[in-house]
Amino acid sequence: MTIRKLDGANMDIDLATPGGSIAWQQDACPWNEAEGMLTHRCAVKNISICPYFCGIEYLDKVLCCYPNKNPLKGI
Amino acid sequence: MMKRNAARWLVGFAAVCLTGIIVWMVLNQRGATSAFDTTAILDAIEKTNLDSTKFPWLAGIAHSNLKRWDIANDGPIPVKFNGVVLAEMAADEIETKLGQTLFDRISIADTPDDLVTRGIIVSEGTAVGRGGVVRSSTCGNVSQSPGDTAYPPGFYDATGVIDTRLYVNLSSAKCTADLDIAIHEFGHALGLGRHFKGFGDMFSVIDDDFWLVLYNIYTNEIGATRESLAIQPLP
Repeated sequence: MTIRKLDGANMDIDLATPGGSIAWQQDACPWNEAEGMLTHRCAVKNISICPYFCGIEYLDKVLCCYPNKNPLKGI
Repeated sequence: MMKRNAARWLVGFAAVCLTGIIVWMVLNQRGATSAFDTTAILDAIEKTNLDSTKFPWLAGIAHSNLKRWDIANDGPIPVKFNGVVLAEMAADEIETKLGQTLFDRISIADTPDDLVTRGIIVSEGTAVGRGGVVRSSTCGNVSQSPGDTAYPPGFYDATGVIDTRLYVNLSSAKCTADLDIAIHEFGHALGLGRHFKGFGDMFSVIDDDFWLVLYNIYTNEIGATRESLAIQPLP
């Protein structure tokens, strides 16, 4: 099986949305929790991708490797 | 001489056995009544209830304060079960575990939903997940209306009193709720917000910590802070 890696998707996910902005439970980013802040985001389009971001499990569950960095990062 | 030594040995052996049995009984009794981590329960209460920065709590309103229904002043929480036996079983189990009457099962039983201003309405088959999506894991949720995830605006006040109409949605097209899930959702409706270890984590729908958290939310004063909480074992 070939897994294609496609560029250009418009992805903007964070796990750091303040309360009141969304109407469902959202797990907190463990990196933010460890540092007591809200600055880290999983992936922000055109800007950054978190070093601990390890993918998405269908449908929309973020796979987070914190505190270990994504072994595929940089490949 | 040999008989006397044998007798002494037997008496000593019996004493050791008796001591062991007593120690085991004491430890077992302690384990049955108070074996829990107070700090872990405080952390869980802070995460799920005191902290108002996360859904469903309203940022800035009663932040760091205990929030729940006011049974003492407003009366037991009216519940409209709509014939859902699983929900009645969940309510029974909660009242038994907490040793308190929390629910008024009569006053709104036949009241049209629109006329209910305070209480919990059980709705079967209307659970949805985040974004309104129904997944295989969508087994229950609590909301302002069936098929929704939002809570009612202003569902609690600045003192921490929950006074609203909440729907406990059980089961969806992709999941049939069981008793633990029904208890879990009632837990949300009673004032548990974010999930914690022992409440909707990857290992359990509910466990002993859930019961301790719920019990202590309903035995401490509304508006209490973490520092003023008295954490007690279940009755």
